[in-house]
Amino acid sequence: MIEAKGLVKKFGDFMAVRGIDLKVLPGEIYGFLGPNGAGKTTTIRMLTGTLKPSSGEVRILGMRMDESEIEIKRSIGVVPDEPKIYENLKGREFLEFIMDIFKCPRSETLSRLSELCEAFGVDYLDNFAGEYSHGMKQKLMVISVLMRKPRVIFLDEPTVGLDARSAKILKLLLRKYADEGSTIFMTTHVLEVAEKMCDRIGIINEGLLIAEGTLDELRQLSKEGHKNLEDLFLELTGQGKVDEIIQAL
Amino acid sequence: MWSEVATILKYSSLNIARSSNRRRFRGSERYPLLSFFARNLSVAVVFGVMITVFFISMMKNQSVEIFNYVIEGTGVSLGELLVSPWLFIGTIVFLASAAPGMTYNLFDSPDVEFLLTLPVRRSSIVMVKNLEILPYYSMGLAMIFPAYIILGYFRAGWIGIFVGFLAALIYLGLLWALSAFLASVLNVFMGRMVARRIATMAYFASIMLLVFAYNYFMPDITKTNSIDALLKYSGFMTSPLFPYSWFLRALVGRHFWWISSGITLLFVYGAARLSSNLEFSRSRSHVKKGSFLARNRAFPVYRKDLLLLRRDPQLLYMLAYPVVFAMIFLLQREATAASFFYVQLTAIYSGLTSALLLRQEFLIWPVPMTFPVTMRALVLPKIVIPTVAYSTIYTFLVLALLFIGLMEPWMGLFIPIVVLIIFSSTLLGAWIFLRRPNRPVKGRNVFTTVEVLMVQGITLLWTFSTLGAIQLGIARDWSFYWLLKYIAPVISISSMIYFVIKTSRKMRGFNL
Ligand SMILES: Nc1ncnc2c1ncn2[C@@H]1O[C@H](COP(=O)(O)OP(=O)(O)OP(=O)(O)O)[C@@H](O)[C@H]1O
Ligand SMILES: [Mg+2]
Repeated sequence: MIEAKGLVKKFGDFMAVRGIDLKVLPGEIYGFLGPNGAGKTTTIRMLTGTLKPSSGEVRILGMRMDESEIEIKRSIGVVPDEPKIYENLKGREFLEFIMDIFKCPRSETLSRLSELCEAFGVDYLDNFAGEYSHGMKQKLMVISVLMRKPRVIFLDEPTVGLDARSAKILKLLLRKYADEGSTIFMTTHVLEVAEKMCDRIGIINEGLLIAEGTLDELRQLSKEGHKNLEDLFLELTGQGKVDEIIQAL
Repeated sequence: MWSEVATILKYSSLNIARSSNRRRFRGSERYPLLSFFARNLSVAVVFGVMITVFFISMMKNQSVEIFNYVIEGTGVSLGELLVSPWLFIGTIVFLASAAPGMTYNLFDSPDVEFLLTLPVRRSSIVMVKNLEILPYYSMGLAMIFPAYIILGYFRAGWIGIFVGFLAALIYLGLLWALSAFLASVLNVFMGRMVARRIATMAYFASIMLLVFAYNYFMPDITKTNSIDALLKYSGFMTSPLFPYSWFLRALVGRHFWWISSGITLLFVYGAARLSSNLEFSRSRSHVKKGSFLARNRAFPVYRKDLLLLRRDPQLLYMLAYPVVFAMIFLLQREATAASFFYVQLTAIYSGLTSALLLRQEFLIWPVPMTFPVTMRALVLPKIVIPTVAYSTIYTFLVLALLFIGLMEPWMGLFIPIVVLIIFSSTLLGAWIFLRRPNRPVKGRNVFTTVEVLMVQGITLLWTFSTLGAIQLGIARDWSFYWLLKYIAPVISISSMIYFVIKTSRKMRGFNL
C-alpha cells in the first residue's frame, strides 16, 4: 500500500511538486500521467525514498518513510526512468549483487529469474552492462525488480525502449502480480497503456494532482465531453489547442 | 580546428564551472582557449618558471663554458647531460599519466556521442578530450619545458629561450600525437575490456623497462671505473632512441633538428588523420558463460567495489604507479627516498581512487538510492578499500626493506603514520568529492583543477611534515633539528586526526 500526504518538493525557489495526496491499495495498478516536467519522476523519487520531500509524509506498507527507510526499500521494487547499471559489471554480476544486497532467498529468486529471462529473451547476462543497448538495460532493470517479487512496485516509464513482445509480457506480468496482491505505481506517456492496464489514473500538471479516478470517473470531468483518454488528457492539462499550433507551424 | 576546439572547450568548461556553484572566469566567455590554459597551466607555469629562473641564475655565476663543455669521447655536452634526466623523467611522467588518461577520457566520456553529432572535425574532438585532462599531466610539462629552455639559454641567450620553447612545443606535439595514436590503435584492435587491460599492462611493462634501463645504465660512483660509467650513462641518456634527445641535439646545433621535426610533423599528421577516422564505438569483448552462485554472500557492496576496482585499469594503474616509482629509487638503493616517494604518490592517488569509486555510484544515480542500505554503507567501502589497499602495499614494502636491511628497524614506526596519512588522504578525496555531489561525473576528471591542487597540496603537506621532516631532522646537523623531528610531525599528525574526526562526523550527517 502506498500513501502520501501533502507531498512537496522544492528545488531552490522552484516548486516541482506542490502538495500531492495519494493512496494506492494492494491489488491496484495506479497510472500516473502528466506532461513533460510535470513532476512525475520527482514524485516517484520521493515515494521510493530516493529524494527527501521538502514537506509531507510518505507511508509504504504502513511504514513511515522517515522512520523505516531501509525496511521499506527492502520490500519495494523500483524501475527508474533511465536504466543505469554499473558499466563494468556483467549482467549476471549485477543480478547477483542485487540478490545479495536485498538478501533475497536464493533458490526461489533464481527459479523466478530463469523464467523471467526466458520470457523477456534475456540471454546476454555474461556480457558487460557497458555493452548493452538501451532496451537490453531496461529489460535487465525490469527483471532485477520482478525476480524479487516485491509487494510494492514503482515503474517510471517502464515500456520506453522495450520491443513489442517484451512490453506485452511486462504488461501481462504486472497485471498478474497486481491480481496476486501487489501494489503497482507507474508513470507512462503511452496513454493506451494507461487506458488498458491501470485501475486508477492520476493526472499531474505543474506539480499538482489535477484529476484522479478510474477512467470512467475521469470521463465525467470532461467539460467538452471527451471520451478517449488522449483528448481528455489534453483538455485537463490545458494543452488542448494542438490543431491551431499545427496550423501555425 | 582550433576555433572548433575553443568552442567545445568553452561549453565543457562552462559546464564544470556552473556545477561548482561559482561565478568565475569571466574571461572564459570571450577567450575560451586562453582562459582554459590559464586555469589549467598556471601552477605548472609558475613551477616551470621558478625552476628555470633558479637554474639560470645559479649557473650564470659559474662559467657558461662548463655548460657547453663537450665530454670527450661522447660528443655530448655537459648541459645536455644535465637536462636529459629531467626530460627522461618528464617523459615518463607524461606517458604514465597522459597517455592512459587520454584513452580513458576519449572512450569513457559519454559526451563524445553528442559531440560526434555536431558538425566538427573528429580531430577537434580528440584534441578537446586530450586537453581536458591537462591538469593531470601539467607537471610532466613543467619538467620538459624548463629543460629545453635552460639548455637553449646557455647555447644562445634570449633567442635560445625561444628556440628551446619551440623545441619543447614540438616535442609535446609528438607526445600528444603518440598518445592519441596509441589510444586509437588499441581501440581498433581489441575489445573494450581486453584493450584496457592490455593497455595498462603494456604501460606498466614499458615504464618498468625504462626504469630498469635507467638504473642499469646509472653509473655507480663507488665503482672505480667511474669514467667508463659516465660514458655509458651519457650515451644512454642522450640516446637517439629517446625522441627528446633529437631536440637536444638540434638545440646544440646539430642538424638532426630538421630530421626530427620532419618525423614529428609526419607523426602528428598521421595521428590527426587516424583520429579523424577514429571509430568511437566499442567492440564487444569475449563472452564467457557463467552461472549463479547458490547462496547469498555477505558484504555485497565491498565485493562489488572490489570487482569494479579490479576491472578499472585506471584504478589499478594508480595502485601500481607508486610502486613503480618506489622501484626507481630502490634500484638505486635509496630506501628512504623510495618509501617517501611511495607515500607521496599514494597520498595523491588514494583520494582520487576514492573519488573514482564514488563516481561509480553517481554514474547510475538514483539507482543506488533504491538499495536497502544506508548512505554510510555505500560510502564507507570507497574509503576503506583504497586505505587498506595502499596501506597493505606500503607495509609489505617496508617489511621487505627491513628484511633486506635497506631500512633501519626504527623506520617500522613509519607504518602507523603512513596508514594515517593514507586514510586521511582517502577521506579528503571522498569528502571533496561529496561536498559537491552534483559535479559532472561522466568524464574521468571528476575534480576541478582547484580540487586537484587542494588534494595534492594538503596530502603533500602531510607527507612532508611527517616523514620528510623526520628524515630531514635526523639526517641534518642542524640546531633546530628537534623542530623537524618532533614538533612538525606532532602538529601534522594532530591535524590529520582532527580532520578525520571532524570529516567523518560531517559525512555521517550527509545526505544526497
Ligand atoms: N534535481 C533537480 N534540480 C532542479 N530542478 C529539478 C530537478 N529535478 C527535476 N527538476 C524540475 O522539476 C520539474 C519536474 O521534473 P520531473 O523530472 O519530475 O518531470 P517528469 O514529470 O518526470 O517529466 P518527464 O515526463 O519529462 O519525465 C521539472 O521542471 C524539472 O525541471
Ligand atoms: Mg520523468
